[in-house]
Amino acid sequence: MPRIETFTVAIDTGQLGTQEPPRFCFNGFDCEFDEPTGGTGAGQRFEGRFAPRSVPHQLYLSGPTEGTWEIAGIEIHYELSDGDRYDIRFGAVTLNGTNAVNLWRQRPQPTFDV
Amino acid sequence: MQSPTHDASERSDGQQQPGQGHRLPVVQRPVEIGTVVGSEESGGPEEGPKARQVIEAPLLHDAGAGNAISESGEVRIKAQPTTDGRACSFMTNRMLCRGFSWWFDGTSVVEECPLAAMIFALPSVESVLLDGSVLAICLKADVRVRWPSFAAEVGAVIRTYLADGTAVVAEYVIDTIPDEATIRRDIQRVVDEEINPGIAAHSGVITLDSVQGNSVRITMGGGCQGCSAADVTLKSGIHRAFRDAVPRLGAIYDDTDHAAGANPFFS
Repeated sequence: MPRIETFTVAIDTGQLGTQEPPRFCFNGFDCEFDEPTGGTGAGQRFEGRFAPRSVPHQLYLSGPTEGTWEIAGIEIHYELSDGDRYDIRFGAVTLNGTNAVNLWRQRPQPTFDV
Repeated sequence: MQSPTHDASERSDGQQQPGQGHRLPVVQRPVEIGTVVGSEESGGPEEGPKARQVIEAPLLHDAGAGNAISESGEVRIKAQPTTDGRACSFMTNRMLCRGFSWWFDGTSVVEECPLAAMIFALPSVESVLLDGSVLAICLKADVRVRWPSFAAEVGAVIRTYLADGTAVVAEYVIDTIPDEATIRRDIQRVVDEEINPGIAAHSGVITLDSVQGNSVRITMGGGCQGCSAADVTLKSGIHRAFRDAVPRLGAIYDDTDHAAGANPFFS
């Protein structure tokens, strides 16, 4: 399995936002995003990136320690050590202090026209 | 959809952690992600990291493989074989099933779904699944095909049928689909009375996460998560038991994150 060199995430917040900066867990390490832009208030879009340069086992976006964060959608762009790049899109999910959402997905299988 | 994970602080597999040799983690503090089961009970002044349930957000597939769903115009199809070559999804720009899914095993399908019958006329097809704009076929166990050419044959069949604009599944069949409450009750009974007692010896557990239309989503936990035999358990045991209990059951999706398995039986 190739390493994740970098990943970039864009999070669209729904009706309920959070004031806490987004945090994620990569292979058990609790981290914040690098180069964050935008926000996580209601209707806002947050973007951030990280360069783990590691083989992925866990990649979770943590819920806020207080309150509820309604996420309308998440887009992730992965860049792997073998040069492959791909995007994954998730739909709505609600996070809070008791949960986290899994962000890691293997690269999709290739498609071809028939 | 929950995907129990393990306490990262117990990691001993020797895998490189983020930051090793490259950079340190941005934040140095106790990891909050922990085991879901049991960690809440540790209690006391030395209570471990707070447990979080890891949930799965719906994965948004590119319906129509990048083509907007349309009821007219050119039929466009993209094929996506699985890594093991046993199955292939055909993503079309037509809505094949709206609000329900349909699974055929090759018996009595001519009247119910002429499209599926045409595909079963091709060699080696074991089952056909329709869900939304996607048609997926599964080959017989001992068969391997060259997908570029075989998928072209399947695509030609799909395109020919859809070009007519004929309904994919007969109306009288759709009317026989049980309501969601009935499906949920019957599937939950199978999970509780047949499946989970059977896999308890392997510390496995199956959870029925949701029922939408006649499609169900499950997760495999405990010893099933990450187990090398999970696929066999799913297809030979769970699928068969579910379909015996609910004959009009459509798609069965496994949302388990097997790569995050903390306690595979054969670890």
